[in-house]
Amino acid sequence: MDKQLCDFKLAADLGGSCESPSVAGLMNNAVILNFDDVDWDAITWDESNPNVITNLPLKAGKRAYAAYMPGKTPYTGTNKTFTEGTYRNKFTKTVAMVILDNGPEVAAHVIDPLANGRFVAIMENKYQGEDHRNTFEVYGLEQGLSANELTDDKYSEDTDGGWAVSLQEVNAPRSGLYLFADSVAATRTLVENMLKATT
Amino acid sequence: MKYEEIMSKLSEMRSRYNAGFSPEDRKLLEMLHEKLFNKRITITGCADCYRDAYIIITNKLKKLGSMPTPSAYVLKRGAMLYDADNNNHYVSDIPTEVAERLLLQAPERIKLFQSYPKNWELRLSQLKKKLNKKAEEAPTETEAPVETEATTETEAPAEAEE
Repeated sequence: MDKQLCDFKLAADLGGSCESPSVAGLMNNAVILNFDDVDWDAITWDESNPNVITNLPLKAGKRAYAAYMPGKTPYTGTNKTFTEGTYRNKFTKTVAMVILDNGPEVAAHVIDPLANGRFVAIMENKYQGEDHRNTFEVYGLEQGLSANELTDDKYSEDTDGGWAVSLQEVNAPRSGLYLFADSVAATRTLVENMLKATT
Repeated sequence: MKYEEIMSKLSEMRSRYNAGFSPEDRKLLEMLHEKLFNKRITITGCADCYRDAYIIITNKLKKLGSMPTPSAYVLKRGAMLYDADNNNHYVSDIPTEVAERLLLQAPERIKLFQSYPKNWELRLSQLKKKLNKKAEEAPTETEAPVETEATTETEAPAEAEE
């Protein structure tokens, strides 16, 4: 296999769109799936952009799970930051959420797995971008998201007796990965299909 | 579950339509909704979305008369194929004819399927032979007739001599 020499040079103008200005924030619905449930051999990528995923298949019989946060600023704390590496710089990506629920089912089926597993999250950006390819952003696909905070404060006004959750992916080589299958509508159908309980 | 069992269960659930469905009822409705409409029940934007789902599920099953036959080709969750011929995007069940046509274009797409016939490669080669045969048998385009009469140019009138 020929080795590639990466030149890391700017390839586009810096700045935003005047017709379609950037908007902060995320939509209320998100999708979380187990890192090990991804069918790595079957992922397909956009030929024109290595940061765009066109198919994110799960292994046979596996499914993703819906996350929902009400309010005007859901998933506050979700961010991506630069980290310096020895040979190559990378990114730390954080997905923050509140689970407004508690009890044995939540503990057994959500919190305990979150505490020890690795995950991938698909978040929906409010800003779709001029070409709409910014709509669905994927976190955790390269290194997996692991919990770095799980707090149940019984008197917290932020969580109303639920859980504050923070999942983090460290040393991700790419600043952003996006899921886009021809159109936003088609991608939304694809994401919705990942949540189906039955095969 | 068989069709008769499901219809019997739905009929029994009718008594709880106004009082409210039990968690088991809701689970059944969720399963049926996904099987019939390929998507989950939307739980927003309706006064009682499970009651709405009950109605459309019951009506759909009555119309079908049987449970829908699952396709031989089923895509993995998170996978989608686009059929340019019909301008359709497919997730989950994909009609056999469409699946085999898309696989013929790019057999490596098989990795996007979670279930398919064991003899899919044989089926593809048979389909390819069938399509080739069809192409050979198709009438050739009739050639444009050759024009036999040459067009004559009209001669420019001679200039009158002064």
